[in-house]
Amino acid sequence: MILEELSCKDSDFFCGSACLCSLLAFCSLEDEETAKRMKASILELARLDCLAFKASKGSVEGAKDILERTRSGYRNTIQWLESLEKRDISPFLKRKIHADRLFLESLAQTMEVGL
Amino acid sequence: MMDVYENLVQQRWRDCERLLLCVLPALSMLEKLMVRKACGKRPFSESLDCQSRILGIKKARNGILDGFCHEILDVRVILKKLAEMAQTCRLAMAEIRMPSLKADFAWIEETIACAIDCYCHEEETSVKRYEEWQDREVLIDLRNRFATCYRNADGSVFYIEPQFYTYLQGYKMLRPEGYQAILDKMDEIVRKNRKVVFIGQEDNPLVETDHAIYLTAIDVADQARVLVEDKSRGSDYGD
Repeated sequence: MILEELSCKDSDFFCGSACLCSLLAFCSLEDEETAKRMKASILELARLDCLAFKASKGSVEGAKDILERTRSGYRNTIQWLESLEKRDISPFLKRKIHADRLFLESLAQTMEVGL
Repeated sequence: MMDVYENLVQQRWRDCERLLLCVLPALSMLEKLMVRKACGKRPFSESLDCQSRILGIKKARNGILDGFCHEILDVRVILKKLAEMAQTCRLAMAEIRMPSLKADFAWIEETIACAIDCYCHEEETSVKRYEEWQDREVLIDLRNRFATCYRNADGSVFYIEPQFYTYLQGYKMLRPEGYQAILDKMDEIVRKNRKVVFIGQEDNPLVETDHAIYLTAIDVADQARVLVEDKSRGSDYGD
């Protein structure tokens, strides 16, 4: 569903959503309750990101609000990744999470420019 | 595909499997970006052979997904495909001018590279490889990680449980002249039966897999007619 939905997207926004999809694999590092919450939040963010892309093209009402919510969602996800990076996890996971965080940060900055 | 992906991420995989799962959306993204660029105003050069690379991305993604769905990962094939995908990213980046698009490809490449490095490290450190079958392909059976799973060139598959190997070393020590005959018999049995689990204990096989036959070291040695004389007296109270 989500991945197919994302495949019709474009540009940085598609990339952000792919990164978010890939982050789902790290939710299992969390306890069950947090993992569930993170998963829901990431999927919601991917949907928002999809809307934000349309908004950036001027085809959605309340574009600014959507962009703002997406940016805020990105910031929360980045904070979560920062906390994951500080944990006692394998260097490979750390490296991947670090790369994801930097990537999301650059996307969030792009979004801020849009705002 | 996403339904399957969502189910897969529910499980508590090892790090290397988790990183391999991360590659799936990255490959979808790579395919999308390659298609978009190929159809754009400034497509890739002909030397990149974009169409066959796009086909390769699809195959790699489906191959990894199949591996997870069937819970058997062909490490050699997966690593080879991933190395090709990483190379595709590097070649594409060399032709891209737009910084943000370059960054997208760089993230995909890093995601792939991380999975490759982690899997190579995992293979070196945790997959037990036995010198007797070093010419065979190693598969990762996600359900049965404690036994080493091998595949022959004809597609037949066998598992070596650690305790089986210990018994086998016992035969090697006691009957070194018959050791090769046991290995040959194992090979013959595997090729005939297609899937064999060489188990440590007859009553307690550790590997659980469908359509396989289960054999102990004694079973194989008996079939190879390599016998070890039983010198135990049976009972100390009998005489």
